[in-house]
Amino acid sequence: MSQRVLREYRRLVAAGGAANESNLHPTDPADLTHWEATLEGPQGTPYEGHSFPLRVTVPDKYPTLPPSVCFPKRTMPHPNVKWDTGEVCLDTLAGGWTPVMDLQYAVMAVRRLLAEPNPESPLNLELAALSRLGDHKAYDGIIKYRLAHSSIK
Amino acid sequence: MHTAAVDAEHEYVYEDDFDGNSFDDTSAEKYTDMAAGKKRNSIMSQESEFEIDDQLYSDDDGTDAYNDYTLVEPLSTVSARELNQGTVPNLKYECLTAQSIFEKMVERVNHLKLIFNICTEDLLSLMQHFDWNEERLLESWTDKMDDLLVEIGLKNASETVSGTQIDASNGTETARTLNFRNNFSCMICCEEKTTNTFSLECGHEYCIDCYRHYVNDKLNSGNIISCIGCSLALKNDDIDKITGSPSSKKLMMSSIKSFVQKHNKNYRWCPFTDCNYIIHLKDTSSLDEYARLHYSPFVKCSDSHRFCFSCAFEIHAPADCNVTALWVNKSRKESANLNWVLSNTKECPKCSVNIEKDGGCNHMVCSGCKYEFCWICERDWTPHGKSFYQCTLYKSDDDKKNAKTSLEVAAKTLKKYTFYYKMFNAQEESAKLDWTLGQAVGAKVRLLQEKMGVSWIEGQFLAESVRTLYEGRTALKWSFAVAYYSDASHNLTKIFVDNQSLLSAAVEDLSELLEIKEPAKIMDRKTDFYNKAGYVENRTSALIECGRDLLCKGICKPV
Repeated sequence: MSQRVLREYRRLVAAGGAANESNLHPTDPADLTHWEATLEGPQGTPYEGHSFPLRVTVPDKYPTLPPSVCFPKRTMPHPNVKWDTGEVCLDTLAGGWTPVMDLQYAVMAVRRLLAEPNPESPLNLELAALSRLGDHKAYDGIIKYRLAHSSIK
Repeated sequence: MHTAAVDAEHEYVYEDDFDGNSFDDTSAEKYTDMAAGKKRNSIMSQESEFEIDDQLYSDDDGTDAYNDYTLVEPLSTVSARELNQGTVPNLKYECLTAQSIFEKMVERVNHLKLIFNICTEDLLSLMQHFDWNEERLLESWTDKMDDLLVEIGLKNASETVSGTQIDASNGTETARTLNFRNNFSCMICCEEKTTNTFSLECGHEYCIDCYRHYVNDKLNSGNIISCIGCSLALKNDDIDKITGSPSSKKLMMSSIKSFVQKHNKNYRWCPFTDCNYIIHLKDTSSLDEYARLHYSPFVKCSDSHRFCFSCAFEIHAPADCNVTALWVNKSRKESANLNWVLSNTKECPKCSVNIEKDGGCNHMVCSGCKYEFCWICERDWTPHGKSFYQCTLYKSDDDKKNAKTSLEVAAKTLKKYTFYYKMFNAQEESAKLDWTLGQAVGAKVRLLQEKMGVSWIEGQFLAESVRTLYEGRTALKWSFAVAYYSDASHNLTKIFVDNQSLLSAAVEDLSELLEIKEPAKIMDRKTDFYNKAGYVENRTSALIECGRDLLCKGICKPV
């Protein structure tokens, strides 16, 4: 299946910077199983003005199996991201995955998740609880506090 | 003599006696009518015995089995009037396989076909989608009709009824088939090759290798598999075409398996290793009555594995399910394994399967019964979806308060527990040895046939003795669990303990007899075998009844 990843890589390179907003690229071009992307915090969210590195790992059985994505630990305060590990709970990358989707699609899905958190299936209970209560002030406050004290600026 | 019918099919409807001893006609279990009658009598009589006096339990005039019978038999008539409060309804169940359940579903589909006016295969998919629940299917069908077909992917969204015909006449482009293509470039693997491809009416075409990987990956889910590119459903024929083998069978079986697991009130897998039978209990209403009277609904699969329908454990009489669960939990606590299980897993609040959370969010779906719950508070997920989140706090406070006092109590009970556990374990080990003995007996029977010219049926007393021995040991084993939880100072407990030692002695006696190797000697002592096995059988049911009485009277209080 490596042909598929290779094709995706070529397509990304050919399309150039403009089409690849999140700067999705392999960590090492000689090894296409580990990729990196940078997500810009969407406007109008507490993440605005911050950028977040995202790690993408391509499994052997890709594209039958979805890639796994992960933020560096303790960098992403988000209802669907486990703070201590950075793991992401997203249906697209689990039961909702089909082989027609690609790595860029996966990264876009995570980006969308930043703008539209889903408190129904939380990994960060604290934030999910606040979101459910509708306490946006506290919700935004905690995210901003976490981001300000995070090592990644 | 019972005539032994060989069961070619596994769809007998067994009618079990309340103590779980079935008198059906499987070739493996041949009770003589006499033995069966005796057993039934003895059980009935002991029923009444409790109300009259406890003489039977303390009856220690020991060795002659027939003495026991003469004591028991006249009483069985007296017991008739008291039977009402002691008996439970017979369990009606059937032994199935995933295959036979599937066949039943197909049968039902053929009936439903008249209502639906769609082809069998589509209807099968509909049933699969609705977890083989006819009512839900019919309800949705009357609601939505064609929309339902689109939703499940049995029909293209753009297609109308007339559109189907147009599409069909359009030619081969949109047919669901394998195509052979030169230099086909597959979207999934991005390889260009001359290969077979597959596509549905939607026109999403991928190479056969990719499709095969995709389908194989989904076979175990039991859900309808759709086109890689859209939600149009693959039918069973398509699946077989793609994989080149009857894989749709596997999909149907996994769908049936998930059906069985979801309906764990009525269906239960035989818990024995590698046994594929499923017990279907038609009416579960009597289970409460069983529990109230501290009986256990013991069932037997077509492979003669006997187990408890309620807790899927081996035959655990005289202990009831509650005692069994507590006891088993307790003994597991001793092991380091349990510590790991406790710290890393939780029990599904519905079906009690242990679940390890290895990632993902706190919205858990039990892979067994599909119950949705919250990992934090272990309660139903439904309220979490709407109101606010109450689960940020762990509820460990109560436990800590009790910790100090319970530590002292624990030290006290540990000594008592260790004693009973050793007894339990000893019987378990012996039961295992008996199992090996059972294997050897098979050889002995053959030897009898060769050397002594004994017929197969005549040699069966040996096999029967081993089975009786095993059942006796199992009852003895579990009786220690009952004894552990019982009030030792009570008179009935003392009687129970006496009964234990009587059965214990009887079991050892029989075990010794089974050690005999020379065929001639075995035949000489045939009556001994009958007597001792009969005695063990009697003592076993006496112990079981006495244990049940302890439970009913609240002298055995499992906490």
